[in-house]
Amino acid sequence: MTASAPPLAPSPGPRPEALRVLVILPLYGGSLPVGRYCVSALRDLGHTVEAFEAPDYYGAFTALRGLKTGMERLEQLEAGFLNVISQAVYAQAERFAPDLVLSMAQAPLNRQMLQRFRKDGVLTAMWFVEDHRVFPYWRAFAPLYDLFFVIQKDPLAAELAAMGVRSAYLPMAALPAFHHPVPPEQADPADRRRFGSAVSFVGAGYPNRRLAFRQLMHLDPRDFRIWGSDWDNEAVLTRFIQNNGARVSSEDCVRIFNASTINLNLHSGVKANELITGGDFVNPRTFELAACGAFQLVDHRTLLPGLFAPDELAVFRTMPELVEGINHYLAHPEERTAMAMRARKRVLAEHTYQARMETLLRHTAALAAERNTPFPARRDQTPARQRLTAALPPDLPEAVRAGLGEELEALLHRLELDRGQDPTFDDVIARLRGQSGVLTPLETTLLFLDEWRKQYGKKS
Amino acid sequence: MYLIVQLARLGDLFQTARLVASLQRRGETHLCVDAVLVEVARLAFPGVTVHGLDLAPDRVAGCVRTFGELASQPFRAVYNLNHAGLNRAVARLFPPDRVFGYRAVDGQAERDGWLRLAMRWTTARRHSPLNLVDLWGHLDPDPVAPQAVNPPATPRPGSLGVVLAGRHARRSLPPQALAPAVQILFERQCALGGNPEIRLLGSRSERAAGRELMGLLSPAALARTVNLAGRTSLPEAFACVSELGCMLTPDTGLMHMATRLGVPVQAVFLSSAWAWETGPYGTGHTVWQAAPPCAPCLESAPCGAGVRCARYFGRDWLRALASGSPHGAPLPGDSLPGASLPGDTLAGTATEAPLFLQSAVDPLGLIWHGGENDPRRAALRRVLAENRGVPPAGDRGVHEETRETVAQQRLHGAAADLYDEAQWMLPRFATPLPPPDLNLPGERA
Repeated sequence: MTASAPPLAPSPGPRPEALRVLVILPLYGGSLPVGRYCVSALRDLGHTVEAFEAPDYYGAFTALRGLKTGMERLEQLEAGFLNVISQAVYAQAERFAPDLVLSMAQAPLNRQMLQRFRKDGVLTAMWFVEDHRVFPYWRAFAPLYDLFFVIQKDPLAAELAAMGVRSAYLPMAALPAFHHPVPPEQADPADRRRFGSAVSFVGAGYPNRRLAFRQLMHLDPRDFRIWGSDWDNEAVLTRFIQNNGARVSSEDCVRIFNASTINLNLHSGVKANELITGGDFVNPRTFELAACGAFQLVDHRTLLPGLFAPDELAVFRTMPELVEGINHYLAHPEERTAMAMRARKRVLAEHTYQARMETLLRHTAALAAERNTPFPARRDQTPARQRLTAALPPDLPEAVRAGLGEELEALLHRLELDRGQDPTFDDVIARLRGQSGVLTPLETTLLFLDEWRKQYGKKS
Repeated sequence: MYLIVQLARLGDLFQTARLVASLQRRGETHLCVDAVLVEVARLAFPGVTVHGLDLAPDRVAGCVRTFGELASQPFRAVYNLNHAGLNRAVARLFPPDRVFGYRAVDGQAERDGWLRLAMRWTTARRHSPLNLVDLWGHLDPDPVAPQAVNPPATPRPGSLGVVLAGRHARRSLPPQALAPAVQILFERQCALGGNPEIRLLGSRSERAAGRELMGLLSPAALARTVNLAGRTSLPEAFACVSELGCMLTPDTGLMHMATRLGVPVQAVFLSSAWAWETGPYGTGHTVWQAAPPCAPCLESAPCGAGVRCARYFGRDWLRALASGSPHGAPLPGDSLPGASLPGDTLAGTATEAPLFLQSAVDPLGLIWHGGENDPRRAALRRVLAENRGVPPAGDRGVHEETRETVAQQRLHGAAADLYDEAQWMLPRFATPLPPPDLNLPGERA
């Protein structure tokens, strides 16, 4: 790297090992993919992770609206339903026994359950990946968490400190296994035709974007494509909007990033008279584009210099600068490529979800140390395989026992429980139950054993 | 082009002023009201196109034409202000994503997150943080400044208007209590010159109360008194109120009319009337607020305190009214016209007196100088200001703490009071719902 960006504040404490983390996903929304990236990253770090799959409940939740009942009645029903979901989270935590409950923004975890976790001594953290000014409800729930990670600094940090909330700055990131370049030799020509253009934008139709992009009307619709939802009633930019403003999956986002020559990255703003808001936090797209090795033109953000060096991103501060940037970088492919490579290198070195989760866990470990709380909690240290084998009934035919021993390794690998974590027999059973399709004889045997234990009161 | 659907009463119409002004700033603004209010709405809001809906049961079918008119207009946003079945029906004329306030989505009624906050704070009305004018005004993400809503009210020559009663008897003072106050304020108007009258205002059912009041006035005052109760149309009342130098009133629609015209108001608030909710909007107004521990009550519930709040308006109040301050000096001879006053005991005057509140504004909206120190209200206002992206300010006069000094625990408590847990968890409450105001410079919606 030719220039250096100031490093993030060093994380306190040693690197915690072999943790059990329960990640609470939101019902829907922008934090949902971030939550999944966190799950993946935590597993890559060798921790045992479960996700509370709140999206599974979303259909039932929205079905309440089909009752067409009175407004107050609906609000009561929704509140009751969310209460049940919170209890479901607690029930999963009771079984899974996490060292840490990690909520994403809008996680369905209510006050009562957070207080129960606190009483139970289970550490809770939230990664609040929202703009605190647009989502002001943080003031109601931040004090209920042991740790509150945010993507902004002051004045939010000062407010949280004044509230007695332990917080730390934790910017967004990318997941290299998901956000990665597509080598030209592997690129699908159909993807290039379907998703590619000289200039593209992926995102929702916030007011500032709608007005800003009107200044690109001179571009040919073949050369400028707008992807994403919430572009309704947009009469002026219609010819650029793809697929009638349908939502774009995360997978397709990566395809678009890779297939586009220039990716526009204009941070959202709710005020139409501020085309370029000059705000603080850096959106996920900045890191995802960089990780994909895709070239981007990104608007200035006050926290951007702390994350990327000046020669790693093409930054614009005004609309004329954006237009000039498009013209320049379309004409200078070598500059584009070099800059995109530098940005990708930076992301891989410092801005992965793995790095973020490591930082988050170090902060958590430091807090646990201050409280003299074991982190991870003390558990049976016998290797998993030994415990698994020990959990088998003693009168099991030796042939079966031997067969199990050989297939156990393969099973743990298939269930993604072999990355240095410390799974219990119950973890294996929980994963097995969640598998779809037909089970193998070994898997069936283990489930059968579990039922047998429950019926006859034996414990692993 | 914008539409406001306001199907409630006269007072609610005038309390829509901040929202109207905010939308007028952006573009052509329409107002849909009860047909009986059309004329006075046009007087109150010049430049606004007013549509009337005849809400009488036997004439509702005639609304079809009005619905057709409304449906044919390319409204960029529709602000539906009332939690009522009629409003829900009207809202169905428009796509739900253009309706703010109360709307129906696929037949399911719902309300904006901002209005959910209001429902939360009304569970503890004593600490109500926001006037109704501001509640509706802040449905616009960038409303006009509070001081730009109504003209400032300053003492001026002109007749004294006396509103005889409000909608509920408990919220009004009887003629015996009113008469000495009328006398005091009339003499003050006389001192300003212009040979003022005393104009009694109200509906036909209040004419008798007007006659009773007149029987309690001094001959000089009586000679200048006109009983207009039940004798004016709403437009005529609007013209009459515009000429007043001062209005003495309970919490009524005519009070809000007066504030719209910049007429200084001396308002008597008791029972369920609560200045912080529906007080006169603008600078230069005074509210005498009875605030016993049971206030504000529910007007639909029987009073278990013997209407204690009415006793607040005795001699101590009159002294304060005469001096224009909470600590009134004795009146000459301390003999006052009229019969015995509420609050008079065999021993003398009532020991309780109403709060002396004077209106002012801060960046969020209307505030009251004077009155009780209420840290909880200040914290709620601070959280609401944050919610609306408004620079914080202390609720000066009620609670002097600034943003930096409002205890953080109180802020957290206020936030917990305001935000129900669904609002934490549902992304639909994560961002405000601004109308898609995308005018290029120089272009109006």
